[in-house]
Amino acid sequence: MTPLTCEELNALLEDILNDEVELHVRAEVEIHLSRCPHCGGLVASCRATITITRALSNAAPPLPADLEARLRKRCAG
Amino acid sequence: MSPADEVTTTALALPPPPTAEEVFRDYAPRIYHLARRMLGNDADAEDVTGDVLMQVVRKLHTFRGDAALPTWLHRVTVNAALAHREKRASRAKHETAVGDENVLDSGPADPPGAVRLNRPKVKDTPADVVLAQEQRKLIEAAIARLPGPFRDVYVLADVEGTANPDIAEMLGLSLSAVKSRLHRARLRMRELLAPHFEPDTATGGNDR
Repeated sequence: MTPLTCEELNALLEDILNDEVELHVRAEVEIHLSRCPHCGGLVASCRATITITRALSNAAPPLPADLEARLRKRCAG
Repeated sequence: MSPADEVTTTALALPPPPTAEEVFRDYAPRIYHLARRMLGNDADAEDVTGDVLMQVVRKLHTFRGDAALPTWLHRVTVNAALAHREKRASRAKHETAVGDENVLDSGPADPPGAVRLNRPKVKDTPADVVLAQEQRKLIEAAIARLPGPFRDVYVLADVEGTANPDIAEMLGLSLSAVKSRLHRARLRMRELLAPHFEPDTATGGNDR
């Protein structure tokens, strides 16, 4: 098994973030991530960014009262 | 009642279509926030939300139960926001020079300041993350810094959770174009938000 370079890891980043890494390279990815603080940090902070952004949809804040009133008026008219 | 009668009764007991009030209460905030993220300003988002709500209210009688409603609303909102932006862009072309929408700005992230983001734990799902108002604002401001074509893909994928093939269809893009834009948008969002994360005690804070 040839170790992955950082460049090769970077090319696989989207697959890693989407949990779509092909089975035959999965072990090499894991090894690289556990040994390379730069790539390990990159993947961890990308994952954290995605999780935190996705959380925006947990509960949409209510509409401001004046906006809600204008929209209601428009729909009623 | 025989089992056969029971089945017939159950099949016929479709829930009534939602009322305009229910649509307003349950969906107006989602429509508005999606439109606002895609368009980047309050006034355009209000226009689009008004148009979408009016379309829904007119078609309410066609919805039995609301299983199909959220998906339909999502699609209608995306289409309305794209059409609105196209109209705005063609107006702007006549008035001012338009910048290159395909270039990601490479300006620095805002200084971390007082707003910090708690780094989610590895096992955390988005549902486990609770955002304070100022944290939401910070994330929304970072999204607003993405140019339109990147923002659309990012908002649909990473805020709305839409699958890449569906995004490709909605935006009229190839799947590889969606993946490529998402990749660049994610890296830019990480650049903008990572300085605000609390240090990662597990990996010693290796973010760079």
